[in-house]
Amino acid sequence: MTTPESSILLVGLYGTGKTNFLVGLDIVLDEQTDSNGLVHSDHAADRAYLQPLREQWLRGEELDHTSRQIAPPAHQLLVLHPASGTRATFHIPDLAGETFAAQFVTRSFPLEFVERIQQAAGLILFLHCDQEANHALNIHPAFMDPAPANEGGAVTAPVENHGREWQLEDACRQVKLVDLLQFIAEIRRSRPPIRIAVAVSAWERVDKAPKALEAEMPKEPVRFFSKRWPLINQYLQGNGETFAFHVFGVSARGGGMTPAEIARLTHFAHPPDRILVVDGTNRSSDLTRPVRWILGLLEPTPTPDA
Amino acid sequence: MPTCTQPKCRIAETGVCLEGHKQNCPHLTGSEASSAGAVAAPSATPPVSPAPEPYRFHSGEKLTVAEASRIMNDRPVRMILCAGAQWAGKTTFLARIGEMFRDGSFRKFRFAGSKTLCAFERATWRATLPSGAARPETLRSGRREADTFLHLRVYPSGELSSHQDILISDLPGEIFPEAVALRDFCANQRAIARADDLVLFLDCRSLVNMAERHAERDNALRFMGQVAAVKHDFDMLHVHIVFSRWDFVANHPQRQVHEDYCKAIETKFVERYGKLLPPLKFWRIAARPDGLPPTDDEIQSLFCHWLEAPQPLTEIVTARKHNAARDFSAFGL
Repeated sequence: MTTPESSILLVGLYGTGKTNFLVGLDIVLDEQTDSNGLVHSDHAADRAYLQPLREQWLRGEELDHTSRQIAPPAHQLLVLHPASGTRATFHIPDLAGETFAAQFVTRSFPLEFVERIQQAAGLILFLHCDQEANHALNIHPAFMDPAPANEGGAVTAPVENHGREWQLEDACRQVKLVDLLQFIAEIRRSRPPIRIAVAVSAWERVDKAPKALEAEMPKEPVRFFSKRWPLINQYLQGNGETFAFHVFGVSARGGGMTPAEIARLTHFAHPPDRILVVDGTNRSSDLTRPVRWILGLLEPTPTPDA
Repeated sequence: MPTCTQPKCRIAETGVCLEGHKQNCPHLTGSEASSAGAVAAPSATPPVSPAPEPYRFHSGEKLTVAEASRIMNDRPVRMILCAGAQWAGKTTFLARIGEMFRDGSFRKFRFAGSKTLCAFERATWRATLPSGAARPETLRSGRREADTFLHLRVYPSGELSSHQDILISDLPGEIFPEAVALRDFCANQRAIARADDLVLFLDCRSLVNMAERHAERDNALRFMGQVAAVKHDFDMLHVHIVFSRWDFVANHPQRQVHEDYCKAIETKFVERYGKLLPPLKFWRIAARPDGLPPTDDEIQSLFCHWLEAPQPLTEIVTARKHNAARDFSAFGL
């Protein structure tokens, strides 16, 4: 059950598609074709942050990165489910990916963010389909390049290279995100489970991947998440008293950055049609599906059998 | 240093809050404000309120005794102690466990949480490509890491709510000679006193060296003797003898000679401790072998054995009185 105006937070590391999602959502809310979908509840008076990004999105351009340093005036994106009257809000601007990485490093949340987490109806957790969850292990040192010879060509004993010291920033993405989820679990102790829509972004790349890669890159979001991000998947599964989650494949931009791709994206007569949202067997352009699932307005589509 | 309005609180001298608050103590006053007030006249400019303290979480590094105690006070925990000489591969073994949870290859158990993810990451770092290390290696545990603990919370595959917590102490190899030689030293190691499982590492690199192998065997047996002398519930201790860095035996031109020597060590342990302890277990492990895949199946089997062995603490846990200040004692120590 959600409150009349539930807030939803976007969480994810750098370059995982949070801003693209927010801008794509803003466009879908304006041009919603699904009678059960979400629409704009009210346009915020100040769209200084969103409007230029919206224009970039419509032109098929790469969006400007959300800055931690220069914060535009805070406002909200309000969404409405007309059939039930349910409303939800997104805080704008979304937090930059570096903010979440910094929270992992400082091992702390600002109190204002703690309050947001405590009051949130749900989170959308963003992962990029191309980003690696773990650091690659150095298991084949025999294939590494030998140390360069010195100029005189004299034979010298190889210098042992032990690499650099580990810093907190060096933790792999999966560990950073699990720890952030553990922080959230601590803040929400004794509260009902919070809903997490896991959004695997740039899903069109998974969709177009050759079939030969399917074992490594499953084309079904739940299996993709389980295969590529096992630590987070297992953590969420094993903490059902704190988190309820569902996985979506999301392409909020709809394609790549090459000139040909940009031309393709701008050829759509109805811009939201370039968006792709995959949820089990359901494929649509309705970017409100993850939001509706968080608000309890959408039964997840079952995962097809292998 | 902050000061406190509570007359008995010594936070200004010790940094420890009388009421145990980590932050946001309602009685706390800023040091600058109080000292400035004592020396200087009040200024006309209004005081600037400091930014609110953020909410702080666990450090992600190995747990101290007090932090481990808090977890043990909350729920039943299996305590594992890994011991052995320097470079025997204890930390690499633990790093490999973390790696298998991260890559999803652990079969019987799934990951449900850890307070020490950063410590696992640190242990693995020099085996990763981004570290820039020429060869995969492990940063060994230092002396200061004695009586510190890695934490894992896991659940059996398919049993999502059957959480089990384990704490793992990695006795630094640097202090292993002291543990072998000094009974008092062992008596003061709380991880020894509280351990449910002892994983004793014998380094195969030493065992294949004719000059070193007898000392390696002798130290392991002597350490067991010290543990037997100081641990009051020694008869309940599950002991795992690990022939670590097994690739040194497996790849040796005189492999059979060294395998026979390992067998003789097994026989010696069984003769000496077989009747005093739950069945001894022997393992051949290579967590990061040169040019070979790691013995992941063996490592997983050993891990599973920790969690599938009987849990003798359950009755104590349910019967004992909660007293956070004396948690190690609360378990009958």
